[in-house]
Amino acid sequence: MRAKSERLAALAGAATLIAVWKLASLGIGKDIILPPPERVLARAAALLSSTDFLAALLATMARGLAAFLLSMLAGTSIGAACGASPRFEAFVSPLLSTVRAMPVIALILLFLFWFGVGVVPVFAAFLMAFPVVAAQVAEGWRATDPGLLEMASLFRTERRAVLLGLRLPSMTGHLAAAAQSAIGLSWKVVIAGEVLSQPALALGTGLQERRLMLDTSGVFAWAAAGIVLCASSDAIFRAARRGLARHGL
Amino acid sequence: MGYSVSGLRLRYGERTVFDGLSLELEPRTATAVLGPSGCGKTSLLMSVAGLLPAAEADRSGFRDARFGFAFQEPRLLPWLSAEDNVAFVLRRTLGKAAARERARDFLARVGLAREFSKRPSELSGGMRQRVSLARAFAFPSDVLLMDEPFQSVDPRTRAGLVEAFLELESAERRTVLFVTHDIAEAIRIGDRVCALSGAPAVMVADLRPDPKDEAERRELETRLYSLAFSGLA
Repeated sequence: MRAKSERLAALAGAATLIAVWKLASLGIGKDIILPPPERVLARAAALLSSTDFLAALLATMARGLAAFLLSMLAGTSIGAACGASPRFEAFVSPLLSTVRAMPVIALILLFLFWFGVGVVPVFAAFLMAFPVVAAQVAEGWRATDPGLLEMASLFRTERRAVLLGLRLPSMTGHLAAAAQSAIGLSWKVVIAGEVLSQPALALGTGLQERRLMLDTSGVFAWAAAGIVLCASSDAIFRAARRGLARHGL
Repeated sequence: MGYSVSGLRLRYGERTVFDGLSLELEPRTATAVLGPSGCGKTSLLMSVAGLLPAAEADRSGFRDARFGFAFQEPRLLPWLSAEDNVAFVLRRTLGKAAARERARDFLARVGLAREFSKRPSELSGGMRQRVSLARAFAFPSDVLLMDEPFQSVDPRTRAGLVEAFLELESAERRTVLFVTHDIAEAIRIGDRVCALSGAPAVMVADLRPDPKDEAERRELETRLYSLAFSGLA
């Protein structure tokens, strides 16, 4: 019952948002500043049959997924090492703190000197997402029930079995939360990186081109693709986390 | 040959827990160690297993022993079924298939034949402790160390767990060191009952209740209660 009422509240929130947008657009009365929602929706629907848009979307998805996978791989390894060794955590903390504190735009501009335009968004998103994953994984490693670890040690369980059968499942909740944050960050930073680096096929490039043409409803429609990417991956990970929790993970 | 620890010395800061305590376990018997909370019962178990670096003792009598454990809490992996929880500690020694088979056998022996595939969250507190008991006995050990494994359940469930323990113990005949602060439980479970008291802890009673002589067991219980009331146990 509660889930149903929450779904209704979310629908009401979305309807309010669209209503405010519509009213604001009517109030302003200039599409170039704020186009009405129905126009943006029509542009977005038209984009679905555009091969240029679909190619750009696929390229952005490939970059986002590459950044996500890289950050999960590096973040999990570094996070697990941090959780297991406070000395290692102290050793890498200057690197992680610097990366966390660095403005994403500065990072992207810096990378433009060093890398090709297609990979700049991937590197930037990777650098933004992996410290988040590392922090979550380190926390998950330390959150493993010490009683269970003692039990496994007293029964002389193999290290590999402890890692795969105890540590990893204990961290699954943290890992899933890390993945949810990392995928969201990856989409956003990849698109921001594409706006600045302008690879041939990219949602960010499409956004920048629409901006230069003062096509505001086009900017909204291309941005909607990014919103859909973020929202759908978020929904998938949210459902996965609920499933894991049902299985005691 | 029995298992023994002698000259056990252990200090926690200013507090001396043991100062030369010795204990010999007769093979294939259950020794219950009674004592008030905080007297060092769990430390004794850990020292016997060689798991307390701070404890000094001659453990030559336990040197090659393999230990099995049952804890105050069930300590089950929440994401694994009852069967997988037991098999988890057996795989290294027995391999996957034999571990599974042995896990099922011991779970059936503690009355959980229908609960193989249930996760801990789907089991009652007593059932979870039965899984822990099955795991302790299924693990191929020479000495079974049990740290008040029945203390966190209600009296009725506790009685059922004691019965399950006695059935497993009579079938397996392991060397068991069982610590508890429950006098009746110690007499019911132990072929031998030792009482610890004081700081540093010393053995204030070493009794062998006859399981067939109900009157003698009641008398021992009374003696131990009077020791407890006089502050010795």
